[in-house]
Amino acid sequence: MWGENMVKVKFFGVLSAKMPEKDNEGYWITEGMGKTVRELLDSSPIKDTNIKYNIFVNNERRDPSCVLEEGDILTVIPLLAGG
Amino acid sequence: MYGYWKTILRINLTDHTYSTETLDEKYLKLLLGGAALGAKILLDEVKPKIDPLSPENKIIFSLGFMQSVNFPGNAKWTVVTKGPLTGSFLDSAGTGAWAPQLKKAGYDVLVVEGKSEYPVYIFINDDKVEFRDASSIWGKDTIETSKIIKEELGDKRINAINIGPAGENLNPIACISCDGHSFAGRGGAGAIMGSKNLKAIAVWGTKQVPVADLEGSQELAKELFIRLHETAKGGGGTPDVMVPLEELGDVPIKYWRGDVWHHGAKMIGTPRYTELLNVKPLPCQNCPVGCHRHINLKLKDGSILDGNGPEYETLGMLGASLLLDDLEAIAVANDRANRSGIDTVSLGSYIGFVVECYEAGFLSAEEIGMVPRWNDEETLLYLEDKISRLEGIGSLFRKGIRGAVEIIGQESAGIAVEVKNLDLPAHDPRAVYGLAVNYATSPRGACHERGNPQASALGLFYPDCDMDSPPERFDEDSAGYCAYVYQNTSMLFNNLTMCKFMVNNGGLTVTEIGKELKVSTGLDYTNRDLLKTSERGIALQRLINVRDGMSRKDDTLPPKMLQAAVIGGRAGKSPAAFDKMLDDYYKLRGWDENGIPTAKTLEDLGLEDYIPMLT
Repeated sequence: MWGENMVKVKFFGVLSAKMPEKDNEGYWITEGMGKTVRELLDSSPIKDTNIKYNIFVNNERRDPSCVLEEGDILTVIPLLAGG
Repeated sequence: MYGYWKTILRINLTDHTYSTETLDEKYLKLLLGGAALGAKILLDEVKPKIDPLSPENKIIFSLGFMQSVNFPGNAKWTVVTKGPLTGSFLDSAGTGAWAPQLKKAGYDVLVVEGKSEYPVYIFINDDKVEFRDASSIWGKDTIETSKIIKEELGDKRINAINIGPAGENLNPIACISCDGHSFAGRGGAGAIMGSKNLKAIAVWGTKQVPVADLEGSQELAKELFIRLHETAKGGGGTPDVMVPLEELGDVPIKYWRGDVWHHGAKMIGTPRYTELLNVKPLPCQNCPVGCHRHINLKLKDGSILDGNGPEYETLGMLGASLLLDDLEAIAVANDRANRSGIDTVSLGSYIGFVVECYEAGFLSAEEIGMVPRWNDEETLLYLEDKISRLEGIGSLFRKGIRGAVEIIGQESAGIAVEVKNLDLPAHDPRAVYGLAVNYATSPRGACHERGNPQASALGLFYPDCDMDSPPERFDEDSAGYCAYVYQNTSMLFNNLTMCKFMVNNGGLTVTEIGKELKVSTGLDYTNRDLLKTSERGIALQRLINVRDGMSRKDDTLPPKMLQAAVIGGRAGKSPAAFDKMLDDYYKLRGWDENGIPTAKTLEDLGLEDYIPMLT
């Protein structure tokens, strides 16, 4: 449920199967304010994935060290597009 | 405007002369380079409906600003010409250090015209151009040729793009090779070099093009290289996608008649590919990703195959499409194709076509010279040899697969899987409807590079380009949009002559490309400005197609693509509403219902100079 300290997270493509419970817009809403992206993803279902991915916060690319703020939208895009 | 020399090197092979010209800065700003700039030059200089193999055709090599410093993925060049398969616009891109070297020699564009009386190769050495007799290397394969030229010029660092015997023999699926490392593979540009008696172009340059902020450019290039490498390291190259794409139903199986091939995909994809072929990454110059694979394999006959490994496309067309799960056989066929200089995508398509024509009774074993079979190494290697040489059954393909249909009979047309006479690559448009529209409208024929909606099915999209998510792959309503968006981004990479894997696998963003542009050229473009250059390039390429007589009637799908699978990742799906998807796409492009760019569209794009061409 949406509330204080929460951020919205979405995994795409081959990572989408690992999404935890989703809201009606397809986001995983989780407590993330003050955490780095790395900390959040290391405690998420994709923590052990060997698939490479790119991270966007509010549609801008960010490093895993980026500290999340309340209401941020974290987008995780797999980098798997050969051929 | 920095980052460009604003210079064309023009070489005339008929009289062995050369000159330089100044590029129009207005169009450099509008197009940025590469495939878009090449299209403008082709449109301006080459008449409609000429024979692509005649001396009237020109072959244009075009760069962008990326080669101004060592930006990641800049070892890329684009060749633009009239192609022998479509008879109209062709662009193809290859990688290798040749591109940065051409820039260092002082040029943004190389135009080669006319025809030499005898085989030659060109050596561009900064300001000098030499025409060297190539009679002694005519007939040599691509790898031998590269080696001989390096020895003859006395410097292993000199790069030469070249053709193999297939290009000399005007095979319409002949490639241009760069140091045996990479290929401008699709559409037959190698045959155009062959038609001009041009065996190779070697280049060496020592100059630094002026850039807006040299120190800033070099710092940004270094910073991006480190980050992209950190992101991409440890990947398995393009074979990584074989298994996931097969699960989605995106892989061609049994020449587009099969539904699933789970076991086979695992046999030829990673991780088995990496283990069996003793793989090492084989990066191009300035590449932090390293998608190419070097393989070292002891073959059944005891010899060693030490060279380039097959890419995903080759695995798809020589493996899955032929139901062949023997990696060694695919690797051998790939090596032979590389040496001869032919496109493994069309090669696999032609072989599948022959096998299916045999099963349908349209070709006999006597005509083929053997009984062709699926999952058969002998069939693959025998037919590869014939097609590569255009001998025996292979001579059917002298004018591509449509030429073969004309000879065999129209009843075989339903078997052939092509658009505009270019064979479909190893992605199935029934698995991603946007890909169906993309194949139908791609100016060089069915192409997964001039638009890559297939990547959307794996989750790739561009949040910094007004996208919140990738389009749903079976959504008829967004298929036209899907093709439009992914063509625009792909076209941008082709305009900049930058390897798409920097984005797809390294995680480079369009916003960061804008930063590279600014520090190199001084141009401050938004992401929308960047994508506008793509729209212009696509419009110019379309004008070439239109002037050659193409329109909506040519934006079609092969009949097999309307047959749905029974099982697997695309079961029950086919792009049946294709006409509506095409209408949607035309509207987004600003083309009329017949697929012709309107005067208003050209005006909005700043291409007013080309409005008279519409009348």
